[in-house]
Amino acid sequence: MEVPDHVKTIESLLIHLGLQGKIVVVEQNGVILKKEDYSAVVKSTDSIEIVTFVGGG
Amino acid sequence: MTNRYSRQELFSFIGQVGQKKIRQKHVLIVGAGALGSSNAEILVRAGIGKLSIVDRDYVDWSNLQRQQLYSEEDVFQHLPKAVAAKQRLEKINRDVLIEAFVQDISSSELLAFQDVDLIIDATDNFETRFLLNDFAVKYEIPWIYGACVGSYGITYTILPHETPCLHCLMEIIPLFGGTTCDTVGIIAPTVTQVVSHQMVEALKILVEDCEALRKELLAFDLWKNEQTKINVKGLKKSTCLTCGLNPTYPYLTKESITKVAVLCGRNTVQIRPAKPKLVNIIEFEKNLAPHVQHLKSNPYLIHFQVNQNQIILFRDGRVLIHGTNDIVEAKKIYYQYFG
Repeated sequence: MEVPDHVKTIESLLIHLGLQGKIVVVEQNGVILKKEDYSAVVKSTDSIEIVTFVGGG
Repeated sequence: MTNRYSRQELFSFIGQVGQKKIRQKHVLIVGAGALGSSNAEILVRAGIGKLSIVDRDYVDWSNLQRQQLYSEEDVFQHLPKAVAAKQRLEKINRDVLIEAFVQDISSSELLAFQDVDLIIDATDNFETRFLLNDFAVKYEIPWIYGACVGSYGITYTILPHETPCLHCLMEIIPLFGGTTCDTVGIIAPTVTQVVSHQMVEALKILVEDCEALRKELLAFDLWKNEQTKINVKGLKKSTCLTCGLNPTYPYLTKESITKVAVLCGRNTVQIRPAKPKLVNIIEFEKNLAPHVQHLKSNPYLIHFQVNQNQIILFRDGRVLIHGTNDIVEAKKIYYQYFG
């Protein structure tokens, strides 16, 4: 996925995806991040998986 | 005569032995909306022994696009979903014992389901899911989280004390429940995709092939052609108040109080008495008739109109007030007619 240049951390990536404040699980290169690690830098070669919890049914 | 389960028995991971196990199992489905109807139909066709369905709502036009058990006739009759589901499911497979409960589920109601083999989550809110999670972990019942909105779906299979529980994964109930079907819509393929994942996991549990379970948290977006799986095993917390070393089951032990809830995105307020009280529908109808418009009833509920508000009274004492999100206004109407 292409992201704008200003997306440099997990936090800014979540904002870019409209997921700020949502309950998510973020995996960076196979490792699940804690919330306090969302300032981690994102590189273009990283593999990032994000899952958001939704309530509908 | 060909056995109705012959194709399922030919499937080597089930076989005749698996089919016998499926037949002995009791499954609870919480919620009989889109996920609930589709899950229920698969379980009943698969030949489980007993199915219990709990739902607090009635069938509405906006349900028919994806809630596969219901028909226009159910809308005309204002049938509660659990009742309409039971009627349809009994036509599909009369060998399955089906119990329908028209009620909001709280901890006291859940206690009746301690002996079920599996719980399928088909609710539309996190409050009920956290309650289910506490209950399932406490009584060691596997349960399968499933949810969807738009073209996005998510599911996870929770085995108490083996996998992380929902409380480990989410930590808190999201304040506004996230986006719901009523605000961004939902398409039927999203529902059936979540159900496919829930039901294949259910079959594995019912035939006791737990080795085959998926183990990852799975999410997908059908419109964007995306799918994600994350191994969340590391998120299991020994400090979790539900499945950790010193559990308090915080959501299960909450006291039952008169509960007023705005149903997200539906312009509806639900008011539930602290203790369910059986309403005499005929007597209520007689008393209300001179004061309200468009009064109708069936054996399960009464509905009528007061100005802009459509009001539904269920037999268990619950009231839905449509046409408002204002709790104060809804309570006023409630006490005016039912106080």
